[in-house]
Amino acid sequence: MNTPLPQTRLAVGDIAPDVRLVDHDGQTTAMMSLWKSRPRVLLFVRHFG
Amino acid sequence: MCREHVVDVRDDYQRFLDAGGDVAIITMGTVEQTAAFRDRNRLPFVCLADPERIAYQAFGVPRGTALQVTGPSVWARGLKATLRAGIGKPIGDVLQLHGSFIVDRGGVIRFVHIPKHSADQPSNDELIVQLQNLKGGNIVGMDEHR
Repeated sequence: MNTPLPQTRLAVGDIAPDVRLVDHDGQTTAMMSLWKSRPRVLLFVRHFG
Repeated sequence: MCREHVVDVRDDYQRFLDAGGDVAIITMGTVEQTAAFRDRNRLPFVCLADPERIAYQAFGVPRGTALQVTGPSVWARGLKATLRAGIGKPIGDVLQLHGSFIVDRGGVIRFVHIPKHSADQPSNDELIVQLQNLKGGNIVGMDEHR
């Protein structure tokens, strides 16, 4: 269960938050797992309409 | 970071892999909307649904002002994007801005780009260079963009 976090500004050198989200297949994914094997580019989209 | 940019990244995806990295998209849509977006745009990378914007907040991806989202600096690129990707009904908070990050294998953020307006985004080349630097174990050139 995610706890809503206050709006923060992350900077280079900070540890990335490990948030759990659901992926396009409906699988709950810990974001931390995304960068375990390779550096990961994370693109937060504005909206996708 | 709209559909146009996501499609640009898709088209260069092999270059991201060759640079030793990978890509993930986070959207404000539901799982169903996110899956449909991925299918419609033939995206090969993982797409995560964040309708409550928990990750947006955790990473500090801000909401913009109306001027940042619709101002003159946005018009030219917005027209280009519309011509290329088409018009769709916006899903999510239209004032929410986008953001780009690179996280290394240790979970450390190596690149941050928070836009000045909704058309401000890093190029694929810029992101790929950052990955190449990480691949070589060289952190010179890691930069923070605000």
